[in-house]
Amino acid sequence: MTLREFRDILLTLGIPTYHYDALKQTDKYIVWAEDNELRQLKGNNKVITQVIQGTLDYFTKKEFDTNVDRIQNLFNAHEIPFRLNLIDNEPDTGYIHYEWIWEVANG
Amino acid sequence: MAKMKVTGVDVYLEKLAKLGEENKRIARLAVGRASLPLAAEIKTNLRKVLAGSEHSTGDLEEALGITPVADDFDGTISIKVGFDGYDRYGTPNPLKAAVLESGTSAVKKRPFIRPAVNKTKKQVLDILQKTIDEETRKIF
Repeated sequence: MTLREFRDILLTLGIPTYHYDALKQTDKYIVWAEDNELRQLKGNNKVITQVIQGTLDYFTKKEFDTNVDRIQNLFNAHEIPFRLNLIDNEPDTGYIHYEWIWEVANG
Repeated sequence: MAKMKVTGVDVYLEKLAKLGEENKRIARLAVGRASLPLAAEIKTNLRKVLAGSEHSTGDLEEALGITPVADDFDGTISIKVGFDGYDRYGTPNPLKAAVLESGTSAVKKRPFIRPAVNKTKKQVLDILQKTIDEETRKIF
């Protein structure tokens, strides 16, 4: 799966989705970013497959937001390994911040 | 009837007993050594993500440290690499590190710990293995 394909999958959620950053939002939104190569597979002196790791952050002000389940179901439906790394309540902004770490094999 | 004589069993048992006595010391030594490349990589990444930042004071880098090796109640021997204390403005350094790592709705994330863990994982495991092998060989 390429990162573009990953992005397109996220867009099917219908939630405003941004790459790398999206500051000063007023409603629920997603920010995703790739940030490192987790591992790679080599063959015939070439890199055949790279596993890219990144994060998906969902910001919402709604308690028990069903989009949280939708995001996780989407990962599962597309066999994207993930783990929920953080749930943080931001008292200053009222946002609840969910952070998932995901991996896609690109190749 | 065939006859077999085994010698040196006492010596072998003595060495096994010594290994039993020394295993915690060896494990402590191994985790201590293995923590060094991780701490170094976290520091390198921290410098990268803060490079050019007008707000960077260097306090967070100074707060990066390695704890003493701990013997947990369940027999696990562990060490932690992380941040402690407060910066010059009274902000907890672990909080600053967490905000940098995961971001907030107002602060863009700049992950520097997880990529360091991923990058040094193999090196850390190799050091653990090498140290245990070397120290075990000294006994045998």
